[in-house]
Amino acid sequence: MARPIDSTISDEPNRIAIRLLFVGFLLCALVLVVVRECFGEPYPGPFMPAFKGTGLQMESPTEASIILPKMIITFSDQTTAEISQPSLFGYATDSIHRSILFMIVPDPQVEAEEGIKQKFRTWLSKVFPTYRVSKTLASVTVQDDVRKYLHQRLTKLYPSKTPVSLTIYLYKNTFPLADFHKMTSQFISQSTISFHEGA
Amino acid sequence: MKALEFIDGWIFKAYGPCARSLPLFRIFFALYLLVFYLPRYPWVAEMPDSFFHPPVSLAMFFTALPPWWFFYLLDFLLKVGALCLLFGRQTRFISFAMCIGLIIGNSFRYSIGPKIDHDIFIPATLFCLGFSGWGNSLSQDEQHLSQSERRSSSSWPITLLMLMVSVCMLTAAIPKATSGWLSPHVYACRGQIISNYLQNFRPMPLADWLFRIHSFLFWKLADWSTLAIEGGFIFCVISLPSMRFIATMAVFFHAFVYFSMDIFFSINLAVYASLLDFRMGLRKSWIRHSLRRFRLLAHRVRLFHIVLLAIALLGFSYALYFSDVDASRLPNNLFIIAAVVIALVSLLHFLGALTDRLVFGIAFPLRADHSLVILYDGECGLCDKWVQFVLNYDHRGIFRFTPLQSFRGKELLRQAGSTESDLSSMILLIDNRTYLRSTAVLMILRQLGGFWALLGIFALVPVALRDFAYSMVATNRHRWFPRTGDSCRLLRPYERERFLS
Repeated sequence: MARPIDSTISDEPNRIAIRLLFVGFLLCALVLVVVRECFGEPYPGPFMPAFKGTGLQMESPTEASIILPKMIITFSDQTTAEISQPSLFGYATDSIHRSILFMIVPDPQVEAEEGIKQKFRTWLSKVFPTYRVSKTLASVTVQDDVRKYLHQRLTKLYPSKTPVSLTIYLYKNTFPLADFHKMTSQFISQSTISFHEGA
Repeated sequence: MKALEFIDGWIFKAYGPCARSLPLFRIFFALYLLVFYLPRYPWVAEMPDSFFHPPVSLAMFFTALPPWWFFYLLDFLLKVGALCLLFGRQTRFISFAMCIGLIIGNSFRYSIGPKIDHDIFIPATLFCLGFSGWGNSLSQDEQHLSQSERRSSSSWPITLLMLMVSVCMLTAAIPKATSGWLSPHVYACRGQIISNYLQNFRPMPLADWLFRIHSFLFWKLADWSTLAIEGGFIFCVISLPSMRFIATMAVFFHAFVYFSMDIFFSINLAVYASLLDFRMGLRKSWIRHSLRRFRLLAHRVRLFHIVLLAIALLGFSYALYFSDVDASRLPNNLFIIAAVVIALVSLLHFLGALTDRLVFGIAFPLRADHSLVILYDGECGLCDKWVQFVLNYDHRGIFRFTPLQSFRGKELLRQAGSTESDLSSMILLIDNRTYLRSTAVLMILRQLGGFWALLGIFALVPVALRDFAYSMVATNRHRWFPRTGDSCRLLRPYERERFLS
């Protein structure tokens, strides 16, 4: 389809097909916007990150809050150590770290969607069982493969110790928008993942 | 019918100048993929199946993540693909194959958690430019092409790619506009930086400094300019100069985001690079020489060499990936700094073009068939130095010189209808049009090209201010730059011809 750079437009042998490709892209983009509204963001799709609003949970016009975790490992010798998300979840990007965390424990700031959107999603999940039916992805109980994954990660990070459990504390941190250093923390929840055999 | 002609003009011609440097862009893009983008999937292979929640994508047809070796194999094949793209081996097939491979791999990558990293630009670039003939030159493929085929390429794929980029940017702008970014009561950028700062654990060099700023104007300007840039793409896609301008602005925006939030939009920067005229680099002899050597290498390289190189590169990448060393910081910083420098130069070129249009009313550089004469004070040391400077940097030899005191100088002024008799004023005659003082100096700089042409943008400063500074120097020129016996160098014969008297 390549042609000499200085040739005229009429030299282009596939003019109509190319015009249709442009129209096709615009139609596809429209369809994918509808898909996003009904079933969540598809991949691939012509989308860039929205960064809606302030990215914070607004408590009042001047105050915001954010959920931050604190993760404590307990070893077999009863010693403990605090671990950060990047250390625990390793090589993935920061945005994925937070995603992984909230697949282990539920994110209290994400509300389950209701209404017509959720009906569409539930319908699709009947056809495709693994489809991301909801924004809340954490299971009620921690699955064995997740337990195994966390245990492997911790064993790799602390080769000389035996991790027996990982406790994830979630805190709601509220702060004035003018100065987020003046933060007050409120305990929200605690989840302990035990690595004992049969746990 | 006219509408169709207009649309055809846009599709097939608007991005024509970029098509000429597509083979060079291909080399840059392949290197970008090798250094910054690949490997993509080793961490996905570690994830438990309970984390597998695909969005609407190809992965939805699977009930669990593929086995670990699938991701390692995909990374390897993509490395091989990027190397083939670099050397231009089966370029069209490789472009489409990599596009499909990335879409399959990313569908699984974004099945872990609700986050989709918006890297659609990479498959989009491979898809669009696969049609462009970007492998027709500086490649192994060129060996099977005739001389004219080697110089052929299409610009419509760049138009399509830029349309895709613009639509994507619009999908970022609209949710912002409807979620408070326009409201004077919401500091959206500030909130986003705080949110990122508290959730992530990486250094954000600008963030601490930004938090000390409480100016309404600053934060609203940040919010509104973000929206203007993201939303502006869809309007600027109509022409190459406007697209280059908005992409230049977007580079500054992405650099701000990188240094304040540590979000690295290198993919966007790599795609905007398709708008650059890479052939400007060919003016340097060492680049031309390197490309000749690269061409020979591309002709000789075999698939066996590419596979070996891919294994070595993948091994090195994985070793870095699985070590605790964060090796990405330095290359990321260098990449973003290089992008900012290019954007700055590009912005200065825009301002230069704007100056030519608004102040001078002439588009520089002028062709050699114009008559350009510099009239100067023949008894002034500064003027002598200036003439020597112009002689040194006027590589096309377009300027002629004559002292204001000479018979020829007076004659030229009379012919141009100028009554200027002040010896302290530098005069530039372009085809019998007279330009004086600072305007003359800045027009000469614009004509010289290169770095000196960028200084011409000072013509945007009001003429009264410029001429005030000019007359300060002119009044004191004899005191500050006294004429000495050795101030005039010996002129070469071809230089002597450029003096009219």
